Amino acid sequence: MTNDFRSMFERQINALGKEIDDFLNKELMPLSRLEEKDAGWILEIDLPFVNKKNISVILTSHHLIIKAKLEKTYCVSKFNCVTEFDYFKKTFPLPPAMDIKRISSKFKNGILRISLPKISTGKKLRID
Amino acid sequence: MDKTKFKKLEKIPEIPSILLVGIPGPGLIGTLSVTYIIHSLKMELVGEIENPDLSSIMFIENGELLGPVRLYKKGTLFAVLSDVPIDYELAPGFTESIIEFSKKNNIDSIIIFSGIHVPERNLSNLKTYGLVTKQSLEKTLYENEIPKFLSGMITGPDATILSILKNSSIPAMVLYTECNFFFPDPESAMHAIKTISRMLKIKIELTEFKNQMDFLRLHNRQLMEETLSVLQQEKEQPTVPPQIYK
Repeated sequence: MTNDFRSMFERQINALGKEIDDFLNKELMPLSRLEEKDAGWILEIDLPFVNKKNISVILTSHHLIIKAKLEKTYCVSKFNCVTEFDYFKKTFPLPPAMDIKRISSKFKNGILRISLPKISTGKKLRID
Repeated sequence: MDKTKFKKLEKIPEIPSILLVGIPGPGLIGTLSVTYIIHSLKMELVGEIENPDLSSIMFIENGELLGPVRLYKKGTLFAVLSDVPIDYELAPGFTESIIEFSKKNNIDSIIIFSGIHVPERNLSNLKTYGLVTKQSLEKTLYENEIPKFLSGMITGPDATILSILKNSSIPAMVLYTECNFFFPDPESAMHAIKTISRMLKIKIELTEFKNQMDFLRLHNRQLMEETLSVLQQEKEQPTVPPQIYK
């Protein structure tokens, strides 16, 4: 019964033209969303099958690299070829004018949420 | 003399015919819930909705050609499931096809599954709200303790679908479950299934669905991306300039 239910979603792997190209680097691309708010940006990354202890978040001068190990291998069958995936990985360019010291992250209900505050100090301008 | 008494028979109530509609939308609630209902109740594939705009995609399953929008049936319960998001261009034709099918098959009401974005929703206490196009369905909401969607705004192709349904003779109900709009949300889809199960008084076993939740989130990434691009597209601007510029 499980295989029948899964197969009802198999069509999505091969459909719709534009593909999430997991196969390029044999790493799964997680869904993500960057939203700009007044005080900063919120980056959310959907990480099913992941335990918090297996997530690494690496900050470089220009990028944020998220890597997470899956708790179980995910197999994809495409064109009679089975590919196994064990990791999520995605690299994000950092938004501009970000306060690196105040970056924080939280993992809840399978979603990694990273808060990227904007720099709040600056030069005061005189108004004529 | 025979003293047999006859009890006056009351009219046996007819079981209403219901059409469930599952299309990719917020949190993929519609797709996930209706797909599982079809699978769990072993509904039979009885047809497809054909539309020239949908004919650019076909699926092959077990050597058989399948269109992207299919119809299923079990008893008096029908379901229409779309594998592709319905955009502005497809929405009118799709909705008219649903209405036409409903009229031909004496469908009493149409129930659409959708989601409403609530970022800080409580997964252990999710809520489903109902929106009806005819007053006759308000009683159903009340009897099933489904709060009415009182105020807000609906945009995108969903609004197009609803505006057409509102003007048709078939009563329609949309069930909006609190969800994460941007990622596949099986938790919310499960709540939607429980709501419909209670409303229609049919038992839908959810153990298999619970065991597949992470898989469903992973497997539907591509559909979620495509759905978001459709939901967030802006309608083409009219070529006639607004009055103030004339």
